[in-house]
Amino acid sequence: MHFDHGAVPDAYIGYIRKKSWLLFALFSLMAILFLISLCKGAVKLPLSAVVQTLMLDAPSRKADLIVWNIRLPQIVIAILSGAGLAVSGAVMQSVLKNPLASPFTLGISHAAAFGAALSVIIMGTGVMASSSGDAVAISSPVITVATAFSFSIFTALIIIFISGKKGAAPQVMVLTGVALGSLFTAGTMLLQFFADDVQLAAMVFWTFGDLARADWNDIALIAPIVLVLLGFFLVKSRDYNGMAMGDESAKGIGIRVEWVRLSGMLAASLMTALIISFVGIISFVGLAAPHIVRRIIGDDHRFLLPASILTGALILLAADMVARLVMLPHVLPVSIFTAFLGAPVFIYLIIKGNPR
Amino acid sequence: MILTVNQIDFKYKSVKILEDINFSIPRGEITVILGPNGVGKTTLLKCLNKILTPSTGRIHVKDKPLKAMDIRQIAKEISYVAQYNEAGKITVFDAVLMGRYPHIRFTAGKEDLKKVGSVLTHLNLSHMALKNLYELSGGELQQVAIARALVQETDILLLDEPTSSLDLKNQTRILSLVRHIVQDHNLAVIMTMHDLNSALRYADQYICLKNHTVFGAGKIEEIRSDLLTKVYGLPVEIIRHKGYPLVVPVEDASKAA
Repeated sequence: MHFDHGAVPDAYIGYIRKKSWLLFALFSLMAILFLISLCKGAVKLPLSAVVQTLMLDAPSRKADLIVWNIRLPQIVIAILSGAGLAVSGAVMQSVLKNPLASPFTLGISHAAAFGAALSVIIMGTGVMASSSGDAVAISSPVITVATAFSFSIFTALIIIFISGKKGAAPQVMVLTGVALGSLFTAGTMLLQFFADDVQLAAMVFWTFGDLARADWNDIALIAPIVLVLLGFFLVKSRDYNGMAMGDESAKGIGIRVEWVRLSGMLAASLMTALIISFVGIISFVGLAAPHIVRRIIGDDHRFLLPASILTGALILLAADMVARLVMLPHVLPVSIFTAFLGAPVFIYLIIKGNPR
Repeated sequence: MILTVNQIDFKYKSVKILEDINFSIPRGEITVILGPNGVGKTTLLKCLNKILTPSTGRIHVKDKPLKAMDIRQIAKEISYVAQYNEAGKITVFDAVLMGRYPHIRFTAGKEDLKKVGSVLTHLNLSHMALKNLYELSGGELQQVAIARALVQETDILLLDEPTSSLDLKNQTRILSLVRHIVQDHNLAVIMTMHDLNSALRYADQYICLKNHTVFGAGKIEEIRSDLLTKVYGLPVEIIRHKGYPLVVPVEDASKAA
């Protein structure tokens, strides 16, 4: 049976072009926000100075320091974290066929928080640095990051192992995640109960998502992994489209459903575990960004995934800028503003969106 | 024969679902699998393209053992339309394009898009190419699923209860469409079905399952009412109205039980 004499409808070509323009618009918006974000802060810099500094021709030592040492690492980590969390959320929702899937639902964030709390209380990484407002700090961030990462990836592996035993059914993964999340929350509470004031403050401090924590060394470690995983997800977008038809239909066209589900979950868990362990818990982006995008661009993963990457980056960039500007010279935790910015948009889209 | 099934058994957690199943499927005909609820019709269909793997036995597709074929190779030979098709925010054109999956390595080329255009025209679905699946009725969704199976360009088409959720008009539309496809493309179609009247009207061959094994098989025009009576446990007669065969129960199910 062959169908070789068809024509591609012009309307379809126009439709694809429109979606591509939407992606381009999102990218342009991100680029603009990137530049604005470099200009804004406790010290305002003119756009020309920022551009010159980026082209390694800084007009002053101060501009060079502010752009390269303070703002750019924070903005780069915002883009990487936002993109990574959003696309991981989108993939988790798709492969688990559950709109509530996110690092929170699957217990990965709770596990990271428990790991950080454990490092603070057992390994003594929480210290009182001075008597000023920002007194509490993590003395050995490497240990805290490593412990948080170990627990979150351990959680992801447990979920994947149990689902593997049960045939990777979506509800098994989510239910296991919920149970593990409760377990780690209880564990964290137990640690907090026995912690002294400084340790307790250090634990709470860690759970605030904070992009200023990351420096160029951290970025050098995070960026290659995040970029490889983003590439992996984009290559797999056709598989995720096939799985949206239902597992049996997907198998009928030759998709190895269980493998796509497990590899997607593993990659998404690795991505979120990595990001959370470096910047703390950033709520909302992983859950809401893909939903916002789905309502605007649809469920076609060829567009959904790149749009989620860009939207996640945009939300975190915007939240980071607001967090830096709203109470100058204090910088508030970015995770507060991801929810403040995203939730109203999300609720608006739920009310106005297509009936599904 | 394009597909042969030899002595397959299927167990689910040590419960026997299928036992010693044997049959062969020719090209250019519609074969219908009949039998009461829970007898294993859908399980049998899913064994034919390795969605499920039989515990024992052999299945050959064009003389190649199914066991040795990977899922992508199978998808080039056998397409499958599930009983329920999920409807997301994805266009009809893109949903049908998914049928090209086993033939595409990285991204769909112009030829793939042309084939989708051709199938949509063939099935008179071009007008809805840019509609989202969630905007479609059950009958339209089923047609899109069949279009996806056609664009897969296989010689065998498996349909699981293709008319179970459709109204009368859509039932006849879908089954007439399948009939035309078989004639035009010399395909082998295997479908499970509960509606005996549609089965007798549109199929060429039947396979009747009872007690998890083949109880009877043959040409559809040779099917006898006593066979159906034994298979379904309810006395029935086959009458003809305006040339069409109709299966009529001649006793209430409560009495028969």
